[in-house]
Amino acid sequence: MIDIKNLRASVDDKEILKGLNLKIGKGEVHAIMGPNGSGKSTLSYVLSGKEGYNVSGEIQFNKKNLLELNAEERAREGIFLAFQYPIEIPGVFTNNFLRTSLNSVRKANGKVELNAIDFLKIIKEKAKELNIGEEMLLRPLNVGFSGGEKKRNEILQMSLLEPSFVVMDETDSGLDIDALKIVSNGVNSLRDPERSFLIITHYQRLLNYIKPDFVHVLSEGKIVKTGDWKLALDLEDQGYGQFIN
Amino acid sequence: MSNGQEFIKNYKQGSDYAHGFVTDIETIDVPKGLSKEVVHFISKQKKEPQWMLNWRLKAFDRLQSMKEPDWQKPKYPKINYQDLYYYSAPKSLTDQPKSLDDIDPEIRKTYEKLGIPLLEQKKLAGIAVDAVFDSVSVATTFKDKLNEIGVIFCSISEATREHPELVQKYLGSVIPMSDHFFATLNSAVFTDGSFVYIPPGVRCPMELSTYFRINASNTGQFERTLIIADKGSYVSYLEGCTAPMRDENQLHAANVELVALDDAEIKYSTVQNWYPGDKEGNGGIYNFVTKRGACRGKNSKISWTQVETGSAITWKYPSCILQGDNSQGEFYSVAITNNYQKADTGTKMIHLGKNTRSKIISKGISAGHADNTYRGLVSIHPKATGAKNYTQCDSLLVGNKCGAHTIPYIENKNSTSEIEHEATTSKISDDQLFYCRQRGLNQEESVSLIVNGFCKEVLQQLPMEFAVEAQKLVGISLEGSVG
Amino acid sequence: MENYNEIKINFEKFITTFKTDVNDLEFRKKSFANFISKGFPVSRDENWKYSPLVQDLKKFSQLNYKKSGANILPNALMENFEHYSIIFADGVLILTDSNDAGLVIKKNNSFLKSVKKAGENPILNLNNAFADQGYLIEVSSNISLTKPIVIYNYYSKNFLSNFCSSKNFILLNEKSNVVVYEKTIYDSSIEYLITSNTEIFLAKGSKLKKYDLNCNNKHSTIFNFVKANLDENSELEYFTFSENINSCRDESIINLNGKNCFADVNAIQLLSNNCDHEIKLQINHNEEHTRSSQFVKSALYDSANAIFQGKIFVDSKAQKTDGYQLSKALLLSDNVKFFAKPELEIYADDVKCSHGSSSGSVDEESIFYLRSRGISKEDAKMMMINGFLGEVIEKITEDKFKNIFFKKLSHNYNDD
Repeated sequence: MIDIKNLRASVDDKEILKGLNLKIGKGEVHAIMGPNGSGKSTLSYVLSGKEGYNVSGEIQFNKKNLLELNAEERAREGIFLAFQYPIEIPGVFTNNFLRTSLNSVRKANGKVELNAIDFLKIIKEKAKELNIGEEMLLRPLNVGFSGGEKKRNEILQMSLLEPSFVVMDETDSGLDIDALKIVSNGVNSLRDPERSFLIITHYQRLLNYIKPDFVHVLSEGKIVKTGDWKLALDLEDQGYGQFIN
Repeated sequence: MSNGQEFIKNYKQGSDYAHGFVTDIETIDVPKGLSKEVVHFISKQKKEPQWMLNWRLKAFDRLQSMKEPDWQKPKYPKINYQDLYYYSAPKSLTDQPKSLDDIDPEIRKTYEKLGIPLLEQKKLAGIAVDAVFDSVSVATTFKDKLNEIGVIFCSISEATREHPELVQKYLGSVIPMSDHFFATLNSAVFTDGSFVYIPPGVRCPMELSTYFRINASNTGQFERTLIIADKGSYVSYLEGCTAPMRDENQLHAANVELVALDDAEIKYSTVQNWYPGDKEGNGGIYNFVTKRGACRGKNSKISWTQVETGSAITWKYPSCILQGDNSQGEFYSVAITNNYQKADTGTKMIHLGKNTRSKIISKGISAGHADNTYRGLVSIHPKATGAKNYTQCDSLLVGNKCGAHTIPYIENKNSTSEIEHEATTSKISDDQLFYCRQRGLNQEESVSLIVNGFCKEVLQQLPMEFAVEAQKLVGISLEGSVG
Repeated sequence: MENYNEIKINFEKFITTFKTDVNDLEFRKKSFANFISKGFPVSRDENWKYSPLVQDLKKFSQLNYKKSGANILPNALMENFEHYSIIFADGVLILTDSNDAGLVIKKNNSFLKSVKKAGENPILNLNNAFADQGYLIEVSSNISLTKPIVIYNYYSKNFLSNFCSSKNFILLNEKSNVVVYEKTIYDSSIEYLITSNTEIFLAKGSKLKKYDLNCNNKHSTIFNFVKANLDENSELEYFTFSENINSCRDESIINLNGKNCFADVNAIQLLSNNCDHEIKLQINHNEEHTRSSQFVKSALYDSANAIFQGKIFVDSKAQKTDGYQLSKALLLSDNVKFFAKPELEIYADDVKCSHGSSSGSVDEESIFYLRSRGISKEDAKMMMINGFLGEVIEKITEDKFKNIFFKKLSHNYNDD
């Protein structure tokens, strides 16, 4: 599905990713764990096409060179980033935004765009599954949403856009245990042999709910160790100290 | 405790102005009035080179066709410029004292009363002081020690003689001679003030400070200060001001110019406590000051901090011209007006270079019948790509006979820049007062505590020794305003 | 000093032909004398700093007040909802007086006593001298009109005059309610100066909602002056939408004179090309327990200039004042300029007053968020701008008009 080779990224001459290699197959769930400043968020931004990074290396995604695509083209190809801090956009209403987004992706994939009524049907159903009240859809995007609401809104978008590769950036941060369960259930219900996940997290907590097939340790811009989910437990016990020089 | 305490200590006993005494000494004065002869006289007294005299005369000529500005909020009775003395110096200083110990004992006592010992053995540790008495600098401490590392700290008069190349290059380069009426007046008749030069790469190891004292009556004080921070240098400078209590209003029209070259930083702090006039609004200093800094080099920084508690009228806008790419300007201000005091103060941040940054934090407190205005300009020019400004102006009113005003001018001519401005007005709430008093503070202690909290962000910017005393001054300035 | 001889001759000609009572005539002459003594405003005058009119008024050393043109509003421009209409066609008021269950709308050429004060404002003086057209709306006590009043200002292709002035009155008696929608349509292609003055009086407990749409003016120079006086418990909701206005100053003074009155003033400036639009707004809190809110947003393209000067004044007796002001501007191309002077002048201590102003470009983080959801860069930007301006439209309390303005906004973007 995705093949990352020797990925380097820098901002203002400061190198953050220093030759990262990672291969994720169809339907696999990978977790990347690492201490603060190891480059976790940068990886998520570089994968989703945020501007402002100086990037080199290779990212093959379904036989395409991802680095040649801009943010929206990647989204239309099926890459989805669940943001650590979903952005608040005053004046832009959530349901309007969701429909514009869904129709952009559908159009790019040769599907019919949904009219307001069909869209409403779909979105209401999905919102219900995630315990999202309809009134939330009528509010400006993420404005005044609680931390939990914002994260649920991210999962709602994920289930709506049906991406093939999901990057989750510290989705567990700022969630209490109940919200964490709702979000994890949402993610688990979207697990599919055709869909892969990259879960970026500092703590092992989230991985109790979403069990990864592989766990990688990111340190100073490189993957320094790879294992199965037991590696996450080790890290919880012993910390990242063993990987930092 | 720190020596800085001494510096600002004893400002007031009760709510009376503690620095209102007059020093009885013989002085040399010029005849009243403004004329070419007076300009010649001042220049001669200062033993200035010819070029300096020519410069003054040019300013004098320009002045003839200029008018006093009148757009400010506080109005004042017309000043008769022919009825002022433009020079007053203690006679004992006609021949420069050879060492600090030679200073006239009367003047020495004055500074001791003000908490500024000038004698070598009593000097303030870690602070070099230039003491200006009316029109002349009477002493500069720690000169030799600073000389060793190449720092020049002396009176501006001495600098025109000893370092003409620096003075000629930079004087009037930030505040053009004919910038406006008071700047031009100052250029013609400036008397004394400090000169600072920090050589490349030097971090000045001590606070430099000037202490201004107006003593003679009917005398205008026209101080001129010039600070140059060469590449990669750093200096922190502090000025303090007091004057005797007199019934008439006295004019203080200073020009202060700062120049920061590449990677240099200047921190300029002011604690202004000129005589504010009595409770009925009689007398007090007109503090009409032009202060401007040029961040000429890349990555340079100029930071103004002012605590303005004195003067009948304060009218000043310490500004930054951000020419160098990535340069930074800051303005932190507390202005307190009580009784009939008036203040119209703020800053100008002129963004010319790329990625320039500025920050303005202004706290105005108005009590009694006073009027307090923040006036400021943030101007982002078309080439200042990526410039950013943040401004926060807060006003606090104590009673309903005073005024608090905010007049910001915002000019944004670059689409990649960002300007944020916020302003609030509030009062000391009864709940806050009650809470403090329930915990055992009296009314005045409570007010002082709350107002200090309100000003905290600014007071924190002062060098530590002075911050403590400035806090006391804030409380004292408002005495009698609540209750 | 500029030469105002031509204007003087115009004025002499005007007052000899214009029918008016003696007192009004004196006031017109006095106003004109005041105008002549100061002339057109200069940028040195603090009140006119930044104003586009300072430059543009120089084109009008001659004021031709001659009436001309079609004097008719094409049917296609009429709103299709039920309403009372007031039509200015090429500067001429077309109006059949109506006297309908508590509503009076009539032509009015005379001044109300209370406005006859010799002013400082040079262009208002000019308006006082020359205003020859005007309506008067009066709503009786306890009447809530179900239909809105629509005022059309239409300048046709046949309009030949270079000057027209109107003075209008809106009077709401106690506990009355009305919605007034004013739209201006420019079809003319000559340069002309429009001055209009609307005086609003809101008696106890009355409520006026006024929505103005002013767009696509390429040639004229406009001075709109609105003055409102609010009594106890009255409310003014005032929204203006200014789009692509060549050269205009919208000036308002709102006096909060009675306890518990409230002024809610909102505005949008959406400008491109060389448009130059100024909002000058002063809210005077003259009595205790009064509230005001100002919310202004500007989106600027090409070489447009926007100016916002908003002031909250609080008198020493106006304790418990609640005054709020926010202005935000989006700078969307390299050559735009935004000037703001958000001012507070406060003489009472027990008040809650604040203002905020920000200007900058569209937030890049937000754009990335939208793009990461498959929305193109252009669409994302458009959505952001739309949402940015839409927040002001959200404040409109009449759904019908909220929709009209939202439609106006989306229409604008579809055109791009």
